[in-house]
Formats: sequence, structure tokens, C-alpha cells
Amino acid sequence: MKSALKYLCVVLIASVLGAGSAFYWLLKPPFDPNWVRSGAWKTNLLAGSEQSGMYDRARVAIAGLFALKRSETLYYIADGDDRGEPLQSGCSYRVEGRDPDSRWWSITVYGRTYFLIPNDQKRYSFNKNNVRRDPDGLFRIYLTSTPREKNWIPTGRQPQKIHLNLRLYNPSPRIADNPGDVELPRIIREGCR
Amino acid sequence: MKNRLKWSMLTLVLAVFFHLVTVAFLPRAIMAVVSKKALRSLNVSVNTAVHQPPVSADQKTVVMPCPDLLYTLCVYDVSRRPLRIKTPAPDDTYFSIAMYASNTDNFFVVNDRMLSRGGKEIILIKKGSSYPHPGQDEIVEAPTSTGIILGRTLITDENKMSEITQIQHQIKITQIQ
Repeated sequence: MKSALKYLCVVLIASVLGAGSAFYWLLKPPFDPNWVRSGAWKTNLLAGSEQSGMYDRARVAIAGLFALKRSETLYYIADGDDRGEPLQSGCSYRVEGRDPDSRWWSITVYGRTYFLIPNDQKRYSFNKNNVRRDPDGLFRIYLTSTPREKNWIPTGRQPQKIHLNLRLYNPSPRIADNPGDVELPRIIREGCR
Repeated sequence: MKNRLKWSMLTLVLAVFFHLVTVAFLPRAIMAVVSKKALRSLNVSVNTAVHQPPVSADQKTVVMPCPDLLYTLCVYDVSRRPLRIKTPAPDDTYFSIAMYASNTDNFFVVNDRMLSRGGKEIILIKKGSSYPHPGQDEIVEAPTSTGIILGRTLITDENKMSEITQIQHQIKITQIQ
């Protein structure tokens, strides 16, 4: 009886340790050779690929289910600004850059749980077709909780971490071959509440 | 001392086992939950294409939805019969059909640039089975009997929503008898 209880305790402790370490490793990997960075953005080279290992497959399933292969779409994720500070809904950001070399692109803002942030404007993203560009050729998208005149994506009133997803549909072969060697929009923090 | 080492080693070995099982089965578990949630929330059966309206913040089925696309979703099961997927070939918008296995792998994708005028018919069959009347159709072998087919139609202009919706609705998925 005492021995059975010991075995049960071992299984319980091992399951908590095993599953806990798995989620920790998946959500906060200390290193991952299949992710490449460009400024504040990072992309998984094996997203959607049948060549994915089990860790990459699980990571994509958690935070990017139904990803397409790299030649079809590149997904760049940003959890922090250009200085590496985590993106927060309580801060204001300016996403500034030129059109990436792809057939079509979009930048979408997500809340802590990777879903769209509710807002009265029903504005969650800007893309190649509807973003307004300044005379210098750059687009500037504003992520704030208070209204801006143009290119405004509301980040809501609820304080939370936010995430950005830059999608490049049919990226140029140059970018698809070297996703880390591309100039992507800067994410500049303008201030915090 | 020896006894304690034995129990520690056993805990460690089992923890590694649970770690690997969690990582290996998580994608399948997430896919199963998403398929079930989709079927229930859309009130449809398997092998039925559902043309969804533009994504809003109310959508909580799949993480990181793209609000610039119209999605068409079909939870497939080709264990008994193959499926026929008819695609449109729009002229001026991005369009794609992607197929995902039950472990989340994207095993097939075709976009509008790869389609000839008039679209395409694709036959999705179970791995290891054959289809006797291929004709002009493309035969795609699903690595797993169940999974999800996702159509993406780009909303190029919010003022042209009715035309874009018409393109989306040209995706037809039927079970071959």
C-alpha cells in the first residue's frame, strides 16, 4: 500500500514536471535555431512545413495554427519594440517603414491570448492597399488606446501584452530565401500611460 | 541513500517521458479541439465547406486570425470516401486553398497564380488509397485521414466586398459517392 502510494506520487510529480517543462520550453525557448530575427521581428523558418520538428510544430500550433509554408507566406511576429521592451497596450507605438518586397502584406495587432483586440472601430490591421503613406514614402501605423488621425489601430483599454504579426503573402524569392536579411518596419515606442 | 536515488531516477525518467509526450501530442490535441469547436460553433458536419464572414474580435476559435482575409473552412474526413474540391481562379486578388493534416502540417497549398482560368478540381484521398477516375483532376494524398481545409480570399478593397464574397463562395467541397 505504501509502495503504491509512492509510485503514484512519483507519477504525479513526473507528470507535472514533464508537462510543465514542455510548456515552458515551448513558450519561452532559451534558444531556437529555426527562428531568425530582423529588428524587432522574428520568424520561424519551418512554420507550416512538413519538415518541422516536434518542438517547432508544437510552437506553431500554440501561437500560429494554420501557418502556410514559407514560399507562400512569411509570418513575422513582434513581442517587443525596437529596444527590446515588451509591447504593452498601455504604451503608444509607431510602426514605421516601407512596403516589404512581397505581393501583399498586412500588419495585425493581437492581445495577450493572440486574438484580435475588440474596439468600436473594428480596426485590427492595416495592409498594402489601405495604409496611408506620407510624402516621404514611408507608412506610419499608430498603435494606441487613444484616437489618431490616420493609420490608427486601437489597442484597447485593458492593460495587457500585445503582439504584432506582419504577413508577407508571396514574398519575393530574395526574402523567402533569407527571411532574416530584410529591412522590416521599425516599432518605436512613443510613450506610456 | 540508494533508495532515494532510485526514486529520483524514476521520477526523472518519467518526467522526460511526459515532456516528450506533451510536445509530440500537443499539435494533434489542439487540432482536434479546433475541429470540434469549429464544427459545433458553425453547426455543420464534416466534409462541408463553410464560407465565413470577415473575422472580428468575437472569433476565438483559431489564434492570430487575419482580418484581411475571408476564410472558408472545412473539417475533412477521407477515411471512407474521397473529397472533390473545386476552386475559383480570381484575376485580381490573392486566393489560396491549403490543406492541413491532423498534426497541423500544411501538406498542400495552391494559390491563384498557380491556377488556370476556370479554376481547378482537386481530389483529396486517404493515404495509400487510389482514385480510379482522375481525368484532369489533381489527386492529393492526405497524410492523415482527418484534418482541415482552409480557403483564403483576400479582401483587396472593403468597398468590393460583394464581389470578393462571390469569389469565396465559388469554393465547393463535396464528398465523392
